[in-house]
Amino acid sequence: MLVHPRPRRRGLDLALGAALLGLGLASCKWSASISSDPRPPPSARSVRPDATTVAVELSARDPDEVTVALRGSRRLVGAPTVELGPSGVAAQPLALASLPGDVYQGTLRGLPADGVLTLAVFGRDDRGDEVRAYAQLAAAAIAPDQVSEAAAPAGDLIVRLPPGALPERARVLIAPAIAPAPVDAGAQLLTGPYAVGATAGASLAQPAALELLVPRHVDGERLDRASLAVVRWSGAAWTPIGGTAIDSPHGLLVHAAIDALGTYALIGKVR
Amino acid sequence: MTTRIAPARGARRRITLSIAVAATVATLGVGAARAQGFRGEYYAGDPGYPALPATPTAVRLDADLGFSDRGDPGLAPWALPTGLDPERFTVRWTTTFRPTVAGDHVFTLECADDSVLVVDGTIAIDLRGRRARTTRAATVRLTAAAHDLEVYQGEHGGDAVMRLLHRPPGGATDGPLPAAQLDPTIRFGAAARLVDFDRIPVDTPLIDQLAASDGVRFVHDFVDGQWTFTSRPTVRTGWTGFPAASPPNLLVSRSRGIEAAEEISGDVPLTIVFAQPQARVAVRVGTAVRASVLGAPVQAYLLAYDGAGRLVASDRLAPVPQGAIGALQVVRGAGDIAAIGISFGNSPFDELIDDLRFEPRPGAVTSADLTPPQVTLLAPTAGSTLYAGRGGVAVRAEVRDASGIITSVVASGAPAAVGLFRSSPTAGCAPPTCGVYEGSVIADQGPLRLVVTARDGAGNVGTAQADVSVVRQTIIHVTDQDRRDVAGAELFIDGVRHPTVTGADGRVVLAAPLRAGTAVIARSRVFEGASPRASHRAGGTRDWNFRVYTTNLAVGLDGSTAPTRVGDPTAPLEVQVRRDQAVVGVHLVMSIEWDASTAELAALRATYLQPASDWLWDATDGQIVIERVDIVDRQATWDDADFRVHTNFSLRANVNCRRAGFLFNSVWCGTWMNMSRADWSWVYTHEFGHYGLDLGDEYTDAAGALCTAAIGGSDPQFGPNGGKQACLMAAQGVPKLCSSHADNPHLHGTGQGDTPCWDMVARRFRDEERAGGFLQRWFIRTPTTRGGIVGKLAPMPSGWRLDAVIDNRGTSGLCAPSTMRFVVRGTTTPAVGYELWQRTTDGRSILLGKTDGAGNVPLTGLHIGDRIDATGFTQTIGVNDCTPIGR
Repeated sequence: MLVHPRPRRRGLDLALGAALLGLGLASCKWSASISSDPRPPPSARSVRPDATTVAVELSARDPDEVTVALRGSRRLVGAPTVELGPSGVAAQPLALASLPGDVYQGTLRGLPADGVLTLAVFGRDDRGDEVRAYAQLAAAAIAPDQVSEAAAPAGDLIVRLPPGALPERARVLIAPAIAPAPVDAGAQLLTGPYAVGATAGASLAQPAALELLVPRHVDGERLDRASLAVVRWSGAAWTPIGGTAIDSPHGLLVHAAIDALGTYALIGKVR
Repeated sequence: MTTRIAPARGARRRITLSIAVAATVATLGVGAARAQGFRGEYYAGDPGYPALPATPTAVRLDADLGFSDRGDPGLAPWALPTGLDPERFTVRWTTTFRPTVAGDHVFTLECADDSVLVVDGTIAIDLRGRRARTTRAATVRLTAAAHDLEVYQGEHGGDAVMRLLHRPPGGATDGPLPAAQLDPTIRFGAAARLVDFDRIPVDTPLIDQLAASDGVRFVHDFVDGQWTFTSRPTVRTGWTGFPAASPPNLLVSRSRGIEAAEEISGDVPLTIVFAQPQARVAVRVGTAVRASVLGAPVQAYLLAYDGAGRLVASDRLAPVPQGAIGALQVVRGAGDIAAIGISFGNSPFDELIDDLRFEPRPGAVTSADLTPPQVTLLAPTAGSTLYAGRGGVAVRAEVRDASGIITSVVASGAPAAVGLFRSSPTAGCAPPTCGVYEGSVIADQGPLRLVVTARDGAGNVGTAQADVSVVRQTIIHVTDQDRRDVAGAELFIDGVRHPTVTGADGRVVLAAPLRAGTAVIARSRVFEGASPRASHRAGGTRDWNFRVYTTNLAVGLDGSTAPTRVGDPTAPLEVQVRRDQAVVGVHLVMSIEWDASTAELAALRATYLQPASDWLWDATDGQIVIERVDIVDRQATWDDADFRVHTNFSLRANVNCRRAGFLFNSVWCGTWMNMSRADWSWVYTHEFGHYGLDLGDEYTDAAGALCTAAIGGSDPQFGPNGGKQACLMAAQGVPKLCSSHADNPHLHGTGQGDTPCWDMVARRFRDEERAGGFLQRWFIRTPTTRGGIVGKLAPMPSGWRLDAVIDNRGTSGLCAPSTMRFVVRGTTTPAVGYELWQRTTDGRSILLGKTDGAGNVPLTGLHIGDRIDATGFTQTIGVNDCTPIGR
């Protein structure tokens, strides 16, 4: 590739800018002067690997309404408290109904035209442990007369829609999805899966482009670039749809063309 | 000798007052025995007082005024000059009357038809109009000094009688005025001055060349204040068919602004201001042709004004003699003529003005006056430092003299002495015994001993002096490519913005001189775009997104920039801003998601925004910079923002929905530059490429083509790390934008499409209101139109660095940024890829980012009481977890 490799970030924050300069990155014209906590770094916090997680499924029936379905990796004791609203703003509680199979479901109306919604779930599992889970989803309007881009809240998935690919008033919804099945042996999920959908069940009238970003925490030197692939959940298995890896100012990207909305992920092998 | 005087604007606008060598109308007794009696000007025709026919048929000395065509006893026959019709003629007699006794003098006028007696400029007996023989008397209080008498007689037919009688104070009978007390020849006495203009070189705009020597100053008393007079012009424009010695009068209409718009200038008066009030003023006038363009005779007017601008006397000459000279004169016994105006009516042809003669009130100065004028220098004060601009050093002096006759006040010490002129009276200093005199001296840099010398009518001299230091100022004059003055232009002197902008004349006079070599950059705003977003009003009067300036900063193909540099600090510095040297200044609003400290907000400016502007400056060959950014935290103005900076450390920057949201408001969707809090400056530039410049990504396409043709060629300047690499939208740290220039053409197939980046930029920032027209106010230059790809650009002028305004809406109790590290419980294995969430005490959920490969996440915006959540982890921030930093 002819582009410049991006300097790798290792635990980079603003406070570390000066340290980066000291590591020979002065030519990046980048410096920082924010003072950080002067105390020695505290000892590492630990995360419970067996903590209860909450799977969230989102669906939209019309442009102004999104349905949220929750299910814990362990059984949730009683309906959890759920808040859903624009990111960064104190959210409103969402009333949930209990469905068979320990699934809880609620419907949010008054979906904003575009922006990021944050879902916060607070409950307790059958072990008595507190469960706190969060998720973000993107609701994106499109410009029907030109190329539109809809990005996942973290920007690590972008779908580019040519004019006319979706109906005029349709909105794209991008939300984290549950991996319905493990990927092939040796590979791992790097980005996603994301459920890429549209309101009112709209489908693609023209092919679109999907772009997924290799996470920054993946060590580029251990990554097998040739193994990178965009996969789509077919309903029964992950189906590779290929992709082209390219360097960009954002990092390593993988491009792929898609002709249908659905659940997509980026997989690859890391040595 | 006579002189031509021509009004002009600069060197091009002229009225010609032609030279003519001609006989004088009359000469009275100069060098001969002193004449006594009245100077009688005899005219053909009877226009009625105060008008006079054109030129006198004759001028003669009349010892006494007592004429009749009826053989009255004691009255002489008229004996009119040859050529006069005894039924229709006019006579004006003038003389100076020096009574030996002060008091009430009685004058009696006996006449038929039009007669007027004027004493010291005031009508004493008014018998105007056609009338039968009439006698009328008037009492006038006179001093035992010189007084002006004027008698006007207009004969309309019938009896022609004129008798002037006088009775002195205490006298018993009326009789002729004593001839010994009448002096017709000393219309101008010893204190009179004569200006023949010959000392002024040809083609010199008249200003104050005679101020010091003669106490007269030329004022350009025109409607728009743009005209000046020039002496004896040699350039004659646009008129043919006239003798070379008779150039036409030409003026150029400033309102129409083009050279071809010529106007007749004869009605533009030449105003002459006297340093001292005068009692008598006369001037010779002539013309080259007999009639005006309308066929009417050329007329000349002399209008006299006092110090308050009131018209106090006038004279008219009609027609003005062709190829000869006539006289205009006014007399004011009160000696209060402060200025005169000379006009030729609506005449387009050559006229002349010559032999200006003037004299203060006679008799006010006596030989016994031995007291010199008392001069007090009001400004400058001794020891002061003076900054001499175009107007020079201002001088102001107070002069007191008991006689009230100051013949001259001159400031000297500078290379040229300058006459000072009386200004408005002030409290404690009012005429006639005191006056404040003002003027300006053009002085060289360095020490100056300024001497003000006042001379009174008796020749007494008073002086005052001050030693000062003169500093010549630097004058900066900004014009556009069409050499028009540019008002309101900002100046950057050695990179520092000057506090004032250019005035209506395109100039700024600096308080202190600039050293040679100083870099001066001017920029003149020619456009301000209306932003489609709210909250963009800061720094302006409406929501705005970018401004376009024309500048004088030239950019070379080698990347050098060339401001205008000061050569001679004492000479005006000409700076030309050009529409093909335009700079676009971008206005952005940045909303920060988290509660950021002031230090963080300031670091955003220094770390990301200014470097991003630097990148943009280089990428656009010095044509686009970030001019202003309004930074606010806690998601204020989130929907109106251009930059949304997310707390999510792991976020990949993107522009959602559509490109060019900076320029166009979409009815379908909002568009923002979504940034991570850790994005580097070139990411900001790259995203602005989408958002502001309407550019697509230039990553490799499916066929492996990347951006431009020469990127992998043999010329390293177009390859990686080359100063002219043109794939800014493809990779980080790349300096330039792709173009269609043959040296490194854009390749199709990338996200940018078929249009090279530069063509898109030029399209998006062209002068839409005048698109395609030659009157476009600015041009964006591309490598193609510039004729080459510009190399690494010199740094932007420091005065153009962005102006960031920080609005910290944070709350108290903020913790310093820190880093948190995670491992999998029971191991030392870093917990990688875990999302860390902040749950604030006011119920907001904010994604901080994912743990990196070492299990670290940088934290910011935390407060005591906030909760940190991740899958399998939760913690409330306590006192021991936080180093408070206020806001």
